[in-house]
Amino acid sequence: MPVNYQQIRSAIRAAGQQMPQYALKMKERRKEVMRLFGEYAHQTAILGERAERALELNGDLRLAIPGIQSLNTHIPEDTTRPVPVLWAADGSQIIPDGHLALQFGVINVGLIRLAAGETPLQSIESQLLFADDLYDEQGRRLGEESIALRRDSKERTALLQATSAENSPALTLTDGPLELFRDLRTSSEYQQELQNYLSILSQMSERRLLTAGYVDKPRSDLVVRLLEVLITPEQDISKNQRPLAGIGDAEIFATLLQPGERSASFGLQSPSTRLFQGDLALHFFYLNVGRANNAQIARVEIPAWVAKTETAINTVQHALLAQCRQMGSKAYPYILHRAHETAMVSFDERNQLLNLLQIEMLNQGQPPGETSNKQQAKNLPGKTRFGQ
Amino acid sequence: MNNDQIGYLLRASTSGAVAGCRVAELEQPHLGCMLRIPQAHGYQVYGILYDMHIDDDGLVRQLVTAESISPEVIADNRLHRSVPVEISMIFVGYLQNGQIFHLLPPRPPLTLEDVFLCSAAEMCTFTASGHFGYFRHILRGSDFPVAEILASHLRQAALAQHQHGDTAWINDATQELITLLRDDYPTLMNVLSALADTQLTPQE
Repeated sequence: MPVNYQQIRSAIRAAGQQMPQYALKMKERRKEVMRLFGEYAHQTAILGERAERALELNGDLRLAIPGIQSLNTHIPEDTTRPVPVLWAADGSQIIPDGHLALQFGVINVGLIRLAAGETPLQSIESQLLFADDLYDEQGRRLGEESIALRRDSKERTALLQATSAENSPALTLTDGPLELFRDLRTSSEYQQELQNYLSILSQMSERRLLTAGYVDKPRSDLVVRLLEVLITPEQDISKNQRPLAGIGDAEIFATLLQPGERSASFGLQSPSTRLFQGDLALHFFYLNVGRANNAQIARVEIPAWVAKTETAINTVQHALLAQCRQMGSKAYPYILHRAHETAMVSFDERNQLLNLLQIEMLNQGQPPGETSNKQQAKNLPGKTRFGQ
Repeated sequence: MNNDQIGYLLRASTSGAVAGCRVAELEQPHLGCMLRIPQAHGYQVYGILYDMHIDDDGLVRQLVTAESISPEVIADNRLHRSVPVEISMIFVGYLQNGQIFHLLPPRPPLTLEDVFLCSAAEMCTFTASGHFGYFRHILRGSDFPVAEILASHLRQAALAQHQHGDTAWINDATQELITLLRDDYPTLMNVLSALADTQLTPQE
């Protein structure tokens, strides 16, 4: 059956009717955000103290910690910076499906290397998860979160290994934040993978390998959250009140940053970033990768060993902008798109792998499994018009 | 792939085939060149290239909107991205038991067969065999510019024949074409006009 359009239509109409009022509310909040941003732009010490106090009261806060540069700092691209050798990794996965004839998973990581004047390199690393690999230490079958966590870790491991023979300065890029976002924080598997992830970042830090995570169309409100703690009475900070909810940082920086400009670097504070200490502490800056009158804001996460020096941040900024320019009007780092394209596992490929596994089972005298009845019913051809 | 291999067969019928090759390997084949597809037991199918098709995709379409594309991005697209160049050929004959026939092959080659460029010597052997019977396969073509393909092929074949000491081949070939097209004046004029543009002299 299709969607119940009658129901949905009335819901859409109701949502639409609320929009003018909602837009007005957002406009007021935006105005307040911009007022606070302008007023406190140069008072980073006050902001820092206030953020620390707020974190004492509410450890779950996720916000930006200002550095010594004012909030409204905008730094143009330094086109004199040499573009380092670029490495990008991206991963994709096949999640085990209990309804298929055989249960298996795959973690696929695509790697791309681009360097001026050299032949581009591309490689794929694929790991099959089968039989015992599909269960964690507690005997639970791996789910989407577990496999995604392993994939994140593998992306970073692949970058570390790939760059081990690199003699020239290199920048490693991944899509998305450097911070690990997974719903498994209490599990031993998460802790193990997290330690592995931190160990890889440490090794990258020791080698002073430039590293960044690129977040396209960021929805984060870390700077807005910082401004919120300014206007929230201390007794209410632990209540997670959000007087400026709905306004993202990108809205602030779209008005501030000219094409090619980046913001100051901020510290990133959240419950999970406490594990990223010292050289691994997470920072970020906003970058306008768009064109005149069409700001496109990206958020770039960098570890402390990169954030420490302005020249390193400038190198990351220049390299990312050069990559984004390759993609024309839809600015996004070319190398990250290619890593994604390389890693992506299609539905057809999943079926082909399943066939290969079944053939191997038969070769070994083992049953090839059977698709669930539910899946078989789903695989039936859909309704068609008479004669088609 | 060895030096003369230009790609692998994608699909085939009794009258022609399409091969795929990577953009990076596109330097060798030319319009009108002769190709061969070796099979088992000395059986080999010959074709003449009449079209090269380069497809775009979403990323390429987006890249062309950039103000400038860096050399490494161009190299990456040509080397690594799986956008094959499609090379279309018409079959013009085959080799069986050491004998060349200017007939359509008894059976088409199978997918993923190796496709090779014919050397000058192989082209001479094929084009000098029989009496230009393979021209009719080209002249029958309806979905490619017959005159241009013929002119391009004759230029390459004439040069190969000249290198191997047969300077009369091009005159004989032209005479045969005039005979074959004597009742089709528009096509004959097109072919002769295209031949004139190849600037072939009888000495070549």
